[in-house]
Amino acid sequence: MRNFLEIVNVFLLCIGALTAQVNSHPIVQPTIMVVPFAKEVEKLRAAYEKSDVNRIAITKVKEAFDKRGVNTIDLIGKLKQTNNNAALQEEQANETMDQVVSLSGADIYVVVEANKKYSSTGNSATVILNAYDAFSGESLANKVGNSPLVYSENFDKLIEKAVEAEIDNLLNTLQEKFTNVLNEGRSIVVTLGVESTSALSLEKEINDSGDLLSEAIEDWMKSNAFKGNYHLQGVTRNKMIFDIVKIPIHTPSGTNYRLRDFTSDLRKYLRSINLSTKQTVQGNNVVYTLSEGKDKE
Amino acid sequence: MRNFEIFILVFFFQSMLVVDAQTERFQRNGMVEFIRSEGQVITVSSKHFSKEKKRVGYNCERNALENILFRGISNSNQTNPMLEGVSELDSRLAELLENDYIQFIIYSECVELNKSKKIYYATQVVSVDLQALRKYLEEKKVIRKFGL
Repeated sequence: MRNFLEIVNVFLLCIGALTAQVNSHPIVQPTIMVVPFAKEVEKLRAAYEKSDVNRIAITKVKEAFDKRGVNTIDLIGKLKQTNNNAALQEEQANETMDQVVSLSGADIYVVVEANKKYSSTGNSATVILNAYDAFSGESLANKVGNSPLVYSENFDKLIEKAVEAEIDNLLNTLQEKFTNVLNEGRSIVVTLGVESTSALSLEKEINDSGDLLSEAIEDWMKSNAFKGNYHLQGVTRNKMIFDIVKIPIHTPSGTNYRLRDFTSDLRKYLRSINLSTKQTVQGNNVVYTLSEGKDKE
Repeated sequence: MRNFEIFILVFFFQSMLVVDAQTERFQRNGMVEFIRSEGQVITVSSKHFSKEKKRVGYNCERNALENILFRGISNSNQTNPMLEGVSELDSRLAELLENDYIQFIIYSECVELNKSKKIYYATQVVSVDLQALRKYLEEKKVIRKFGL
């Protein structure tokens, strides 16, 4: 009887441990940077420093992320860091929005534009908030917040009110997008092209059952895209473009699934069918240049 | 003997009334209007009704809370429901809606109460602490923390 109770106890402990594991599925905190709106060639530091209303709006947006438990990357801190980096000092123009965002390592960046409005019926402030995925450039959430009309020159308060009016909606929309990405996977674009000097063709038969190279690659994609979700834009003799390939956020063991995990698996598969590859990754775009023969690594 | 029959009848009738009051099912309506928002506190006015005077306040508060959770409040900073994609029948929510909800209501005042055909109709101003509510739901794993 005592042995039986011990077995039941151990069984219950195992069940408990399993349940705890399921419930403690990790949440990946995205890294977020809040930046002022800047024109194409305008430096972010200049855009930040010239407008006091933008600085207030940025601080309020950062505060809202803090309240949700997400740390944000500080723009000025990041600019100082990049300027201190010896590799970047040669070209001090590395302060435009695209450059700073790509160097910051942020997953998401929020562009903030605050404006004062004067009128005979009172003053108000407007804040435009746009959140983008730094990985793909995809727009994630867009809101315009307006403060009430008040006979006041205290624009600091009006900006606060305008941000408060929409920041929760922006965060909620972002969270919805995160949930979608979690369920459906993240999109990447995969392009496979044949090297110009190579005699390789994607229409070449690669095995005894008569499978073409392009078909074999598509089958691999079907098996390895998240939930088998991909879209083949087109195939020619020397080019194959998958404009949508979904990859997961987490590995089955719960760690972060990186783009490199996917590209590495695809490269190994191509190598296994006797192809040599050159690989370029930029944002969510992956380009493979194929030629015959295995790489010597 | 006749007195006993009357007693039984009265007892039966009262029991029916008690059962009826206890089983009065709450049904959410859309009569919740945004008043203001300060920081993480949203204030709304909520209208509801009940056969019991003491229950009408609870119905108004629950109506406000359910609108925030499942419907969103138009013209406010909470236009999206807090529990998007979560089933209203989720057992983890029953405790919140029956008892725990009171922790998140930081102000509640009846501004109008009328009785018509044995039914009480009330308008109540209710302030809800959204940050505390969100944290509670995150701890209960009803919603995920912000992030992927």
